[in-house]
Amino acid sequence: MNARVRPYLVVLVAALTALSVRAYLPIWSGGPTTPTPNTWPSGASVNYAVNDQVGTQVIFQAGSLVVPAIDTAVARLGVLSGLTFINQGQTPITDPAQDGTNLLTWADTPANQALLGGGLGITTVWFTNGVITEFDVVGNGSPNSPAPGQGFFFSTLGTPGWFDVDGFVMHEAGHGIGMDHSALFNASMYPFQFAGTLKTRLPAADDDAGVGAIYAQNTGTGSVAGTVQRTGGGTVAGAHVFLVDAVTGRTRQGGFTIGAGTFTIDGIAPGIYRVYVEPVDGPFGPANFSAAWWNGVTIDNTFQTAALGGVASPTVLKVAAGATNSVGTINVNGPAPTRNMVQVFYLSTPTPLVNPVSTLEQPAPYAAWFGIFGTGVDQGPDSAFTFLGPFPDITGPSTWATSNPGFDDRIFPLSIPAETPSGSYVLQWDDPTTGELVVFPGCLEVLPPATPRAYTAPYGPGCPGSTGPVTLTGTGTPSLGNAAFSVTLAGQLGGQLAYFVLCALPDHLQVGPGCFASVDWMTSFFDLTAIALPTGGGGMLTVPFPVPNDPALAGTDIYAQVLVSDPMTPAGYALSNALALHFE
Amino acid sequence: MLKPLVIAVVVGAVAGGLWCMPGPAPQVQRSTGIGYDRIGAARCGAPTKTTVDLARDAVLIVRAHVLTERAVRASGLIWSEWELDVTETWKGDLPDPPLLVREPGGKIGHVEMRVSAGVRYRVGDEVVAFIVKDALGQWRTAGMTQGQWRVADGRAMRATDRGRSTSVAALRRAVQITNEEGR
Ligand SMILES: [Zn+2]
Repeated sequence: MNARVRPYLVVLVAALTALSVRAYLPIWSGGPTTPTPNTWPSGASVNYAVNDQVGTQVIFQAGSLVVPAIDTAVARLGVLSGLTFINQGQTPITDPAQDGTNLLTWADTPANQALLGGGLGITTVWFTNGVITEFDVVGNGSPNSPAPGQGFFFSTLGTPGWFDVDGFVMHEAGHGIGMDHSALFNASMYPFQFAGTLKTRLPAADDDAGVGAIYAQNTGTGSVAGTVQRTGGGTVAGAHVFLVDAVTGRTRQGGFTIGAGTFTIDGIAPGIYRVYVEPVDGPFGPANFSAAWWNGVTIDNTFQTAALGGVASPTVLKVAAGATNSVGTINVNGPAPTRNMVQVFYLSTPTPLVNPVSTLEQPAPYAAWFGIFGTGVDQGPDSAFTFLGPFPDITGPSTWATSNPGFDDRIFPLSIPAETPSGSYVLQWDDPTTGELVVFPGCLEVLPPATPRAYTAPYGPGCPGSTGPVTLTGTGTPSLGNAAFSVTLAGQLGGQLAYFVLCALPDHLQVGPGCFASVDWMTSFFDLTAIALPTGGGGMLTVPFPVPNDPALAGTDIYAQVLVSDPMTPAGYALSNALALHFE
Repeated sequence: MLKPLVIAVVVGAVAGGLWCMPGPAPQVQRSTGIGYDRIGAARCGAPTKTTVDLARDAVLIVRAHVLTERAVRASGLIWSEWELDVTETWKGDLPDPPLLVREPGGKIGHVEMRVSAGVRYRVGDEVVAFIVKDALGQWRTAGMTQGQWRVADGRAMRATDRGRSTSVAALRRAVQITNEEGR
């Protein structure tokens, strides 16, 4: 079989075009079609000083360790960027200025209030000919801004209702090293922060890839490039393009189309992905897309969410290390969406809107009540709302659906199964009443459990045999030392020969009509050995898969698929679904 | 049940166009006494306000053409400064011309300063601008991007309006009603 499959692989690799790789959208100079990032010099040392002396004003939660939180945040950015951040200690400087000091200040001064305009924070970034020379971060330290007696409050202790210093600095200092905003809810560079949440402390895959792109730190990764345009019409600028892992359903990197409707997304871990395009119509909106204000990008957000290959069956795209996958044109169509999800809330009790939190920060397993807010979300069947991928899902009928002028809501029970890998998931709303598809990427964040957990995830279509589909499932989890773990093949093909293929990477390669290899045979671990399926018991075969207690396996993934000979099919074989095995 | 009260508050809060903030945060404000900005806030940018709130905040509301742009240094920073050629004054006493609106960021020679949030004007645009005086005495756009409507074909739209425009006449009426309430 290798001989039959590998030629396709060769053709695919040859078809990959070598476009020049541009960065994820940074704070850029240049016109709407010519983004040039502004960055610190490669490997630079960046000194910074802190002014968190806010006198008697209570803006920091008692017991908060502000400076260590700042140090931690910028050190994290240092790891991603290759820059070295050095704390110069406290400074009496209160206000941003081009003075050679990279400042993080919460001082309540007229100049800072003028800059903040009532906001939580702001960062000034100075650059000359593409080289950043200074940045200053201002946190709002006034108890009377944005409104008298209603200031912001900061904490390093995860205090409910208080803004996390570490997460705040991750975002603002992210600007300071040249990053612009991300439209992924889970990213540190998302333009809105929620009080009491800690998750933006950790960079999302999007932040990691974005910093890595402008500081040339992405290694062993690939890129996706293409153009968004209206069917039969012009190109679409300012569209949000993002990737979803086709194995787990987790959202990964995103980016935006620029003036010519083109996009490039870098820093993508090798794997298989679906590519979605959505309008920036809120919660991330044109006001948050700096290139519209500074670089003359004219945003078109009056189209429906689309996907490469169409939303009904999005194309699964294989991304290989070192390659730029040119996906060509993704077509979008108007009219402007009439549906939109603008916020989700997680509720600790089934009583609606009691103790809502705007981000869920729980490891799996977890069950929550889950509210969606937006335009028209009370309409249509419950089944229209799903999370992409095999893990978290809405597990029952909605308990509340309310129509309000301009502001509808709906509340569902949500289940996050024990095996759910940590990461961010995408809520999809495929509304049959309007025919519109709406996505909310990154709106559910599942934190890593205290102890990493092994999982299996079925994916890929395979292709049926003459007696129906061939399924591959795992029994137990591939935990290190689990001698009882096994995989089971079922497909009513007793007496035929089964070839188990175990590979290091997934794939999505058409090898015949309606028939897909979902593992990358070029990365198979050993030559194929045929196993004859039993003639009794429906041809079901359970293969023990004792997992060695080898620490080197921890955190690794293997992708399995089974080919079964079947002379009654045109291809002469059937393919099972694939199964991802994550070892911990 | 808490819910009906909450919904009523939410509806009231969004009637004026609360759309650039992600979320139903205002209901939390009313039901728990915690301000919505304590729950969720624009990291870089002004908190969301309704048109009515913006009109109340503004000391000057004008319909104008953007004539010129230049970058200036002030208070240690680079600011962009636009001259507005006012055709209608909807609120406040127009100062002697030129009316110069400033926002942070800009480029002087090879040196550029950018901010992570803010609003900018485009020379040649017609706008409706809700204007405040900031803590440094500069004319600024109220609520950053929320206070600038670009006008075309008799309709006005902001970056926060999700592609939905308002007729200039309706916007003007809303301002007038707010003015009358304030008297
Ligand atoms: Zn920001």
